[in-house]
Amino acid sequence: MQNARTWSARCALGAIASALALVLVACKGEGGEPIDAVGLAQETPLPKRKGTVLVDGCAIDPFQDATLSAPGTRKIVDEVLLHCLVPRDNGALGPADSSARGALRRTIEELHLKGYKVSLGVAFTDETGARYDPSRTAQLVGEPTFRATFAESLVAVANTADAVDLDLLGVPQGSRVNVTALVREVSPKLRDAKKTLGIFIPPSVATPSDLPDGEAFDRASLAPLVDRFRVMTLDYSETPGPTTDPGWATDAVRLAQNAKRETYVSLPLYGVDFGPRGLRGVSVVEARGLAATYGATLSRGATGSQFFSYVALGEPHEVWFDDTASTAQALGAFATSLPRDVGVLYYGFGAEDPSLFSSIAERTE
Amino acid sequence: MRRGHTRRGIARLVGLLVVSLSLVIALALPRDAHAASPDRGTGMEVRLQAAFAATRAMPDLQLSAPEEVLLPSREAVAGTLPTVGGFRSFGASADMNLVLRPRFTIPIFGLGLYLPVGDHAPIRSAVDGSIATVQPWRLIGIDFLGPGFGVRTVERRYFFEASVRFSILVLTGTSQIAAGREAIDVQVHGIAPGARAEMSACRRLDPESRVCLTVSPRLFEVRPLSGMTVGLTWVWGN
Repeated sequence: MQNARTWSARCALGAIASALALVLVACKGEGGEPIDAVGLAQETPLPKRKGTVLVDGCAIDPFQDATLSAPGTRKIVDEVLLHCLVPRDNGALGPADSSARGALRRTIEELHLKGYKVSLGVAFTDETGARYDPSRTAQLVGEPTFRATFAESLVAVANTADAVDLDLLGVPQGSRVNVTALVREVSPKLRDAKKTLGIFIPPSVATPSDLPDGEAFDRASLAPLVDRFRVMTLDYSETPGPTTDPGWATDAVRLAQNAKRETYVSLPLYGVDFGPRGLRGVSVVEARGLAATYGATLSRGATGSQFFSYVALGEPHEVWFDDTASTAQALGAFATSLPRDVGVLYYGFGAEDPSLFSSIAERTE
Repeated sequence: MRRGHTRRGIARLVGLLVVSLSLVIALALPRDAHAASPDRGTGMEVRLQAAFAATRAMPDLQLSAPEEVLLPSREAVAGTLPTVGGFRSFGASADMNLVLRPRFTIPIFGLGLYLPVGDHAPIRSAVDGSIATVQPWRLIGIDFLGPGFGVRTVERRYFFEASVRFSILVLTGTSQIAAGREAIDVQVHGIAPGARAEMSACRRLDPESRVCLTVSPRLFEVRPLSGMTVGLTWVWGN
């Protein structure tokens, strides 16, 4: 009788425990805001890296000026790249008029006073700002007289700057030899003038390049001629998607590092509006404004980038952009995947999340 | 799909192991080992426990099969996913102790399986430069309970026990790695060696068995005082 009661009690207890277990295990799932193990997490400081901001133009606007004056930006950024020089048909570099040159010189002086180094970027664009057709660029860099004039003009215009960065992206694969020849023409003159020379290179992740015109850049031949590679780890998605993928960027930088040159990984400060008529760059503030205007809900993609959809004038759009959290998360991902001597090029200065640099500075060692 | 089967297979295997271990131990125990009173001497005891565990730290996770990770954004990825935050789970364990006289116990070996309970926030992490998301609700915990040492006292029908022992927690399951706009499922695991205290208050049910309320602070697991297990334990033996 006693045993029967004991076993009954055991069975009842077992049944209760089993039911409780089933209920508890069934009640599981995703809940709450994501928590950071990398990026802005308090326990994971971001490593200090060299930082460059790319300004698309020759002038600094008041918003950019205010950002550059902030202590947080000074901690993250040590160089400003003014992406403003454009070669003309004869190889001479614009802006050519004296007032524009004077304004550029003053901008460089003001940036120096703020404590920043200044690099001048040379983009192969026409006077309207549109990038040259690849065949046009190929034709120009293939002309020895163009290359000679280009080098002479570059030394003259860059005399007050600290560095020069060449942006030949988009040049066709057939210009491989001529691209190297142009850099070979420029390199000794800039080194004599004590200027640092960098070159933008496409984000190839394999040799031979996985990109259509990636082989236009002979990294092994270019490495002894330049001081640094700026790897353009941008515009990852051709259809709606994030502007960069940190894993892909890691692979591209690792490949570039094989050439044993200082290397920069690029992070986008801008967003992209994917519409039926093409892509359009947008600032973070504009992206948020669009979302608010059209009542769109912001979501985060797999890489942490924010995105939303809206319909304007009957046409569907999808906007992807990186805010402070996603940029910090990318930097957090790089913390263990890329050596500390890899710098960061923040592309599209002025389009960023206004809190970006101060937030990153708080978490940087 | 195959990875999902693998995970369920591991869970079933561990569950089967827990049940089998407890059955084997129970059947293997000689009846004269049921020296369940202060008057009796050395013997073995089996403990079966159902428990709720909560921790405030998880071990960093490794990719279980990096060669099987296929991302559209890159060819190879390997490394560690940092984690943050805790893990709440409910599960069962089987355990075997050696009792030396009435006063000392030596935990020998135990095995437990714990499944996540409640809501867990996703953890934004990274592996080898790729953004990753650790999803704790898709993890399971396997407890390997190692040797230790304990004391106990008996007051009529009541036992009070305390012990300290080594442990190894294995977390295994699925996380996600970002590849552009896609998130790819990957198998991960993390291992955390540690030390636990076990404190039990028990009431004898009959000469061979007793039921206990057991509290097990995790003295160290990833970090000091990282969590606690609270459970109901059924003990056969001394």
